Amino acid sequence: MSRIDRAAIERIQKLEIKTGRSILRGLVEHYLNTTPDLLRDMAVNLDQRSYEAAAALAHTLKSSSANLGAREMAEICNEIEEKVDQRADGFEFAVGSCIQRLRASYLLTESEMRNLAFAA
Amino acid sequence: MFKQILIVDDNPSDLLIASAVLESSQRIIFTAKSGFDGIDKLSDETIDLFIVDLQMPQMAGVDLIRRIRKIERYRTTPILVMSGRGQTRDVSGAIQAGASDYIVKPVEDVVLEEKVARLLGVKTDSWEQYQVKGVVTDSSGRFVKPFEILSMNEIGLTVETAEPRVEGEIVEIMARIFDDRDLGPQQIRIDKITANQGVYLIAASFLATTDVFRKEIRLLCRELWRAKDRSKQGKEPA
Repeated sequence: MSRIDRAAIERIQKLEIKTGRSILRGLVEHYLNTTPDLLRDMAVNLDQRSYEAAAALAHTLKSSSANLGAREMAEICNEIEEKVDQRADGFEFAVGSCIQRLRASYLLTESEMRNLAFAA
Repeated sequence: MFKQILIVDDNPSDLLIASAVLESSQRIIFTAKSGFDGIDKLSDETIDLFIVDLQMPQMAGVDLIRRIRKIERYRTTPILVMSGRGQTRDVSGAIQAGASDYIVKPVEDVVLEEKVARLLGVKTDSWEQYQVKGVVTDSSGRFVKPFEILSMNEIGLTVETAEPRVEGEIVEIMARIFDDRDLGPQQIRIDKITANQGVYLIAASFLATTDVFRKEIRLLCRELWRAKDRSKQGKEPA
């Protein structure tokens, strides 16, 4: 099953045609360069009980993921934001579990995204 | 005449994509990665429209909006908030700070373009015309309000009504029209009310709509278009 929504990629490719500029490659490079650090920092913030900071990082990753069609990643990031926002009992564990799922999802998303952007 | 747009967002991918979507020969797009960066740009350029993210480090979008509004020449310049957050408190906080409109990411390109064109006062040809007549009742079924939707798309609508009402009631009525489509009164902004011999024409925008809502509106538009005499209509909504 594809981890990337092709419609998001096609949208960017259309924008490349419209503007005459390369957009997708730069976006993917930035995503692949920054996401591992974001995931690590999110976990560090959780360990330090800096929940708002962890949610802010999830917010950033949510947007970048959605732009590139990494829907599952975007959805998990949204979950993190909501859990921190609501502060229900045990939300710390729930956020920790989300970060683990994010890492797993990223491993699968990364290679697919790389192939899509750099295959040509 | 060129229109100058300043987009302020700490997320580079959002900045890049929004700039590309809005790029045209009639516009100059400036970008800023933070509120402070955005404020710096104001001394060099005259901006016709601001697009502002809410959640940014150092200076939050709401604080940036307040600072922009304190500058005399930008007191009425349109500010479109484009945020990943779409809860009621986010929307009302932004509007209270001085935002003109609000849109939730991820944003469809056509919706962003339409919002921007509307805020810049530029007419676009994607505004489809529909006519729907109906009535709205309150929760107890007592109050019956005749209305007619004259035009509608994903970003707003124009309603004609025969009875004079205060703005708050009109917003309530319009929220009720879309009751089953997950749109509350806080997400409807009245742009203009024109009164003429007892008939009121109300132009309103949808704020902070979701992808799902926009798709529902599009489907509704298509249903309405198909139900009408096509010879009087434009092209079928996609």
